[in-house]
Amino acid sequence: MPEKLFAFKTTIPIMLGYLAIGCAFGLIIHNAGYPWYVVMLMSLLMYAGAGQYAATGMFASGAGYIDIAIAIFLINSRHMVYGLSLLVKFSGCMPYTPYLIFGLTDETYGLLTTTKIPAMLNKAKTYFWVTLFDHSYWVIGGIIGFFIGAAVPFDFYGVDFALTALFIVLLTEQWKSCPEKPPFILAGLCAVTAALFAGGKNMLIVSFVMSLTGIMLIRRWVEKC
Amino acid sequence: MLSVQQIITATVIAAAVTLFTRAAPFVFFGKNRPSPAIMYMQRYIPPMTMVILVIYCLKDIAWQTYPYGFPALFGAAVTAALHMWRRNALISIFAGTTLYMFMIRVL
Repeated sequence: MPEKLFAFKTTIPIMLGYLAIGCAFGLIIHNAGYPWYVVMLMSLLMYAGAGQYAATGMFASGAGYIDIAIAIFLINSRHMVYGLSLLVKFSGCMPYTPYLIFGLTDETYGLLTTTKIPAMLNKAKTYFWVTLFDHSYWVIGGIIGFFIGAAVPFDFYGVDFALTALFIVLLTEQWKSCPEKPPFILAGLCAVTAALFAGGKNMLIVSFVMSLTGIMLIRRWVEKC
Repeated sequence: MLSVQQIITATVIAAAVTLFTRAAPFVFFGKNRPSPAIMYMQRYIPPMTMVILVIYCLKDIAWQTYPYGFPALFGAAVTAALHMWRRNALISIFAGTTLYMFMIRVL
């Protein structure tokens, strides 16, 4: 199936990053003394990197369900912004749409919005395979990390830079295909400000709120570009 | 520390909340055509998101101490330059990551 092959090639960078970060997550759960199926369930059902790390920290500190729900909501609220830009794109993807929505991580979102899919391929199927491959890497990475994370002989330290590099590649693609440049500059200023003043945990959500507010404020100017 | 039973409950709750954040726009805007303001905004969400995520990835670097974030900056610059030049995502990402992993070991 050509969609599957194309999706696999497209997701190789994510495979590197997800296996590495998923592994690290599995190791954390192992070291916390929980059974292996906790890793599998969390990675399979939540499928959200930052959310899972935060949740694990909250498990350890004995947090309540409501605290956990609020924290996860705040950490993942950026995903609402993602869906907003995929309303049209996903509407024609039935029967895969529910799964595509479920699996909308930062990385998958980046690929689905930036990758040019060859005209001969079915878009919905390609999106589905991309999402499924990414999801599998994440779950497999977690399980590997749980069982052999501490015993792997090769030093993988730093391999998670693959995800930073992936976002840089996607940014480069966006820069080439989006003729209006003010949104890039605006988002850069907002993100740096948020990183300096909002603190690690809130940086993403503060950046998104500032950028979305900002883009509405400069609407007239951007539309003239 | 929560028990395994409590963790599974918490995981299901966390998964439901995560799914809610991903599905909310489709649930609220699904049937109606979004307004021109939303249409305008959603066009710039992907480019702005990539800028934010790149900066997010780089935010925890220790800029004040040796090697002053040089491996990450150099890895990032090589990734971007290669991608501007060859436009092959795999080459750009492999080269940038390998270079970064090499430099954090030797510097």
